Amino acid sequence: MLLASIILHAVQPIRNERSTASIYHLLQGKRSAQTLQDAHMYGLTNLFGIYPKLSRELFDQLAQDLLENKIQVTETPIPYFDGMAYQSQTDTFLYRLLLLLQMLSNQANGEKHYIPVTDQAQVQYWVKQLYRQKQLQLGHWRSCLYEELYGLLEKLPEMQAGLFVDRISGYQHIGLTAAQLAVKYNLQVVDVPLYQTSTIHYFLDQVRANKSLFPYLGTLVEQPKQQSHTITSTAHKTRMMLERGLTLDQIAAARGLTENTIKDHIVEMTWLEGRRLASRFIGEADAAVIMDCAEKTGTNKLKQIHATLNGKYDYFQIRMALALRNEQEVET
Amino acid sequence: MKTDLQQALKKYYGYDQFRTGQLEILESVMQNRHTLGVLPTGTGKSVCYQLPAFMRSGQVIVVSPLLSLMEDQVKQLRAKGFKRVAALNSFLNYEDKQQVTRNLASYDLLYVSPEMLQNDYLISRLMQLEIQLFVVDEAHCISQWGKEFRTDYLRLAEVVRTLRNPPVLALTGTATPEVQTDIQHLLGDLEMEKHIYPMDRQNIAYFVQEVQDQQEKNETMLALLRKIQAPTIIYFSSRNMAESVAALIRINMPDMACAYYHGGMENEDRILIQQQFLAGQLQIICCTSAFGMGVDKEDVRLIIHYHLPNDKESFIQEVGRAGRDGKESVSVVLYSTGDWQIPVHLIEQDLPEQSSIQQLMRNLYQRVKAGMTDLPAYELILQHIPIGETQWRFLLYQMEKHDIVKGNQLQYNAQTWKDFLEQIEKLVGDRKKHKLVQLQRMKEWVYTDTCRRQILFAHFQRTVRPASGRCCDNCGDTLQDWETVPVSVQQDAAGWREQLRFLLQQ
Ligand SMILES: [Zn+2]
Repeated sequence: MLLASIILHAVQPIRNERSTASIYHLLQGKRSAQTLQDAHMYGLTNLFGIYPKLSRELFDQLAQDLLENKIQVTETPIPYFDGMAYQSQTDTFLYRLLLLLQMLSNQANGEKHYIPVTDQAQVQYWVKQLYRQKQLQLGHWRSCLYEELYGLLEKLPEMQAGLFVDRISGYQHIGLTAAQLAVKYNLQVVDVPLYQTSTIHYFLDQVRANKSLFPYLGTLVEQPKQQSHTITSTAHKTRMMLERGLTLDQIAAARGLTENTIKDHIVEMTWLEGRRLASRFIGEADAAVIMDCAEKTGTNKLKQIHATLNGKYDYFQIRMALALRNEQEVET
Repeated sequence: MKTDLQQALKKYYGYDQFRTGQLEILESVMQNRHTLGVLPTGTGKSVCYQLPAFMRSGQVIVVSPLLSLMEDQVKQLRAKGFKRVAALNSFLNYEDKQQVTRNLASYDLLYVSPEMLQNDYLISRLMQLEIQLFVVDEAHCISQWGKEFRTDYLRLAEVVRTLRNPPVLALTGTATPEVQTDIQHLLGDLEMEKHIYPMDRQNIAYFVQEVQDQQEKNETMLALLRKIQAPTIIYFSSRNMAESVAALIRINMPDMACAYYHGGMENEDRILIQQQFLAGQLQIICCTSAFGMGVDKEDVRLIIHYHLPNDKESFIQEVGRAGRDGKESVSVVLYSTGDWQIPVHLIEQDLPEQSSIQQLMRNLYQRVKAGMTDLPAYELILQHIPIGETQWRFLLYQMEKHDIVKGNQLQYNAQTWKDFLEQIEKLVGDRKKHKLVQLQRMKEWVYTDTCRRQILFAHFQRTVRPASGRCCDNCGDTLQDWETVPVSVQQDAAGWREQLRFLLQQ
């Protein structure tokens, strides 16, 4: 089992110093100073963020069983990963590729009606743009992508190549789910995404190292974004307490800070992370009303918005709504 | 008008003819009458509101409780090239929801989940539209589940009034006369033109087989699959069983592609499995009741019930997925006497226990006493009291009705709280009784020795039509002489090289 082997591999340097939870954060790709520091200190940067969807429950159970020697696993060789370099690009590249292949395959057969393999609006938009720009060269794209992919897959283990190709949906052929792939290749379901991620990291690495050899796959690579914001550790503490269900005044009292400072933290985190925390403090409909008001009056001034809305919302709520709006602007 | 509609059908769907009932319902809708349509599953209910959306100006709002069905329909419409369609439900992330809400007028067809309609802001936006038709899909939810779990459906009458009474179209696949009356009443006593079509499909034969235990059930099932060898759906009451029997079939019959499907899977995976079945890559689906709605596959030949649903309505709907092409198809129920434990257990699980309700009220009381009158979030409640989310929503609705909760604030009054506890106990008890009666009817059908067709549809229609082929085991029919015509299932035995070549046509 690959996941088990990865956990055992990561445990060795970390053991005695850090909890197994830190391995979870590492695999899951938590953007905290501690996790990043761990990755560097213990030489595990390649594993950073290789399994964003890993379930905590599953991980805890497996880690416990492994460390208490309750289960014996046959050591599985760990395939190529470079999480620190590629984790932020993996998803976009993978889905662009899958949707592009689906489009090309259907287009080659004159089929216009098919359900796209991904819902992600940005990916759909990207492929649509490409379609518009390259309408007359799609046949060429198809054969060139084929050549590039074929060459890369040839160098991977047969199983990994098979896992990748069987997942592709195209003309009159629908790709397999992770569970189906697991049966077909005699794997544990949890290992399937790991192998797929490894394949994508390998693609990304080859494309980066040999740009001239992979001009078509190269266009699928997203230009790396600016370093993402990281929240301050004091705000982080506030979040942990919020997540434990404490109220604002309880947190303020426990930390010896004013309630306004706590509110500052919440606004900061909302701005950086989006709705996750916000829903506790402001409903979507209310947020929308405030955003509309800000847009119509063309101001971000709290006082003015407060007055325009007849004092219906307090300053904190308005700041939260504006923070949510900023989030949108930053992302798009 | 008939020719207009027919031309539109040809233009938008490529069909020459309407299926049973579609034309009659459309004519009523196009004349802006409130309409109740009871159409058997598989006759394409959605055409009844999609066509008006494409043909006329103004918006068509469709309320549906089936979120994944909603998503599927939007995807299918978009795939066909109808882009002015959107769905508003909890699947959407914040940005997309806002995007849709801000541009409501740019859609011709808008699917909305009932809980989204509780949002005042959305309602105020909807009020600015020219709504040409308000559709209540799966209208039986108002009655069958509505009293409890679809509490949002009960508020639809109010929504319709707030939206200045647009023409309403209530659609359902199954409804007893009582449920039909209920729908009309709960939608605000609307005067509706009724179009009720018989549900007894003449090309489906019914067989029931008792087995001693699970092993015999599996063997019987495998033998049946070998005999029929055609697209098959097998229904289970548990996700785990659907998964493990799918594995069993794969091992025993590797040449028949088989997969499982249930509500616990990721949306992306569910769509893949559904499409594989439609594309003929899969022959057998082991699933829970989550599968089937909106899956328009014509040649499903066999429906096996490994477990029975809790009521005849659900059974009729599930069986109705067979033989939409009009060719003879088969329903087989496999049961052992121990099976009756499962639905009773499920019924109990669905309803909150009195002890949990008391615990909840004690907890809320303590909060009020401590000065915390804000209604706590469900996640917070869950930390203290084992209570399902649907149960919580049901209780919340009841608490609002009793003025215990007002505008997200708790209000304490000893008498109202006491009354509330008593009334809830009675309500839960009644509901349980009702469900057990439904289950009893299903059970009677299994044990009957008269014609199954007659008994199955007895509560739904006055006369039952004769079968076009085999009728049922009690009428002396068997599957011994069933002519096996193996269908070829697309095999992907080819290696990745061939597969990639095929996909990209190299
Ligand atoms: Zn009969």
